[in-house]
Amino acid sequence: MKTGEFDKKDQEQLLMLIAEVLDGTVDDDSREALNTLLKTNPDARKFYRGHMDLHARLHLDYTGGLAADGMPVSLPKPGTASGPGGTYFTKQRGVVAAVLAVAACITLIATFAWFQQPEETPVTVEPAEAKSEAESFVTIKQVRAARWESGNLPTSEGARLGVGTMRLTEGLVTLHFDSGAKLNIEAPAELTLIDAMNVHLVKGTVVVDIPDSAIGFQVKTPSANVVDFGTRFSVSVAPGTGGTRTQVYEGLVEVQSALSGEIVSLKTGQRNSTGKGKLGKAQDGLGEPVWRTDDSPDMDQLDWTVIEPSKDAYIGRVEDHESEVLLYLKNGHIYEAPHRKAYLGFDLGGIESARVADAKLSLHFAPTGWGLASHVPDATFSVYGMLAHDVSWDEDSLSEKNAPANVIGKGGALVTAKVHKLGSFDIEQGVQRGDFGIDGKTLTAYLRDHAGSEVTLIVVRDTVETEDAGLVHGFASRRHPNLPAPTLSIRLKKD
Amino acid sequence: MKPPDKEFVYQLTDWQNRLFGYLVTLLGNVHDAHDVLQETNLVLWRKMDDFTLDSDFGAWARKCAYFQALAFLRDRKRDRHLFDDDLLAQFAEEATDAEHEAGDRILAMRDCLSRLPDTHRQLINLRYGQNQSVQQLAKDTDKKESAMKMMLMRIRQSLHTCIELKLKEVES
Repeated sequence: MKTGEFDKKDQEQLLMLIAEVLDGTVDDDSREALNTLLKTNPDARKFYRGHMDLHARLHLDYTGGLAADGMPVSLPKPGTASGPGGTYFTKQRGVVAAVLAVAACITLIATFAWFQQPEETPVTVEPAEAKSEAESFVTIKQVRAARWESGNLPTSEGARLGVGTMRLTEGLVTLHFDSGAKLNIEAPAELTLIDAMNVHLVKGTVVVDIPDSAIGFQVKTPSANVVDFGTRFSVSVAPGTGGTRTQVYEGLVEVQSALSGEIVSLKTGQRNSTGKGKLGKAQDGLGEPVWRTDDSPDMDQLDWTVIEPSKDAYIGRVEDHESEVLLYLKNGHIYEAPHRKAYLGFDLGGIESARVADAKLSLHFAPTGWGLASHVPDATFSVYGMLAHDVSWDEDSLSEKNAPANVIGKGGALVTAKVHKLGSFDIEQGVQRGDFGIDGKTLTAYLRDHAGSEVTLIVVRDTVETEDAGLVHGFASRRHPNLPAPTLSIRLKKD
Repeated sequence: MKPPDKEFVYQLTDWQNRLFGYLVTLLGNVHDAHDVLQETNLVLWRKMDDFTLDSDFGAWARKCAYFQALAFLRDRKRDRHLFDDDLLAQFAEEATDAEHEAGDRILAMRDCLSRLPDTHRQLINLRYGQNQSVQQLAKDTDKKESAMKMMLMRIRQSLHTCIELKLKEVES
């Protein structure tokens, strides 16, 4: 490839490489060829940019991302693309400018006025990625008395799993990896599957049995990287601290500190503990099973505050289909369907930003009695936080038209410039009861940013029904007589 | 917190799709681009006070998106990245408002889409509207995967050519 030339042959090669990028099938050779081609030729980079931009715009256009008026996107008839009113964005600017002119006149309600406008540039929420595309490398071999919480993988016996996170609150689950590794997860635990030779244990305990075929299997934790050399061992991670304890029942493992990189080898009958930055020595003798791995907070150092909503409501209400005690969620497959989203207001007055150490949102789902479970596959739900503080809305009059950041008629779509995605959880097809929710760094950081004000969280179902009359999911509102209201639990550091 | 500055909010909204396209170019897929766009919005929102009417919002937002993309890739250092840092920097340097000018391009794209043969438009609809994989499309149409990949590639190329021609017409 000569610098500066971009002939037909190069173009064909680049087209093939772009196709691999778009299909997610780039291998090392292709990656190298792509980098070489693009680095040496500005025309190739321009060609690549043009194609990727086209891909992005097709994606947005077909998922409704560029619709200005909340109507479904349809292709223009030939010759109608450029209307007399100017270009698409010229029209957009007109809409936004008008909105802002009004807002400018009434400074006091500027925020409110802007957020009320239904006609604005939405970018749709990304639909749940097709799970069939994901490569699987694990089989759930056995499930014993398991209860799951908000993971993003199937949980039934025999299911094939790919990359994703499992959160087990009760019971014992056995996984068989394609590499030959066998792994028991002991609740409560959170485990991320990376590939057939790697997992990330966030908290809890796993017991691992490694045949020769899987030598080199790694269990990563927040504080250590445990590499196996043909053995049976257990790894436990303490919630909160991320400290790791490793015990070897048979064989040899190496434990490497995630911070210092130091390594210690453990033989049969040995154990060690690794804190963040501190690698313990190998000790003889297997101790009593590990340490406490439950989620109860350490009351010596930290304190939990549990907040219920100061207001909650859902939009997409239909006469005679309403509920005052459940907040409905639905993502219809046609524009006219009632697209239901739940809005939760939590008052964080009195919460100091610097003290917010951890957070968790819990929602108690219950049957709504509406719709067919057969028409809604395994469903992904997402929780968004309004970026603005103290967004004004009224739980008695909230509607599709006045709900902040809502995009009318487009399933779970929200105006992304106004919200931040805080997390997602999955509910298996047919499951209508149980506690689900989100936690993690993103939620915690968002609450830190918004401490002292009232936050608005929006729950949407990303997964679209496959046919009419799909299941309406619902979770208990703050008015439910006997089910728990949504709760925002915030772990606060002591002063 | 002060109410969101109207010009800032307008610019942030107006730039969403262009930033998305820019991030797809840097990262190679729409899912990562969505995630990084979210982070970028958050950072821009936090730094709203830095924005003045004299600011070049696009350049500022792109720079922020670029750094967010780098941070995202750093966090996922286990995975092989599509591009090395030098090439990412080259893309960042070469990105201009003109290249990502959205208005005419989107109109040209829609017009070109409407001129595609029905079968081709249907394939684009299934790929992008229904989020169907190449494998699924090949299966449904009883074609080999490689043939389907090639067909989609040709359709995208014809769309690309059509759009560039139309944009040249607009310029002249």
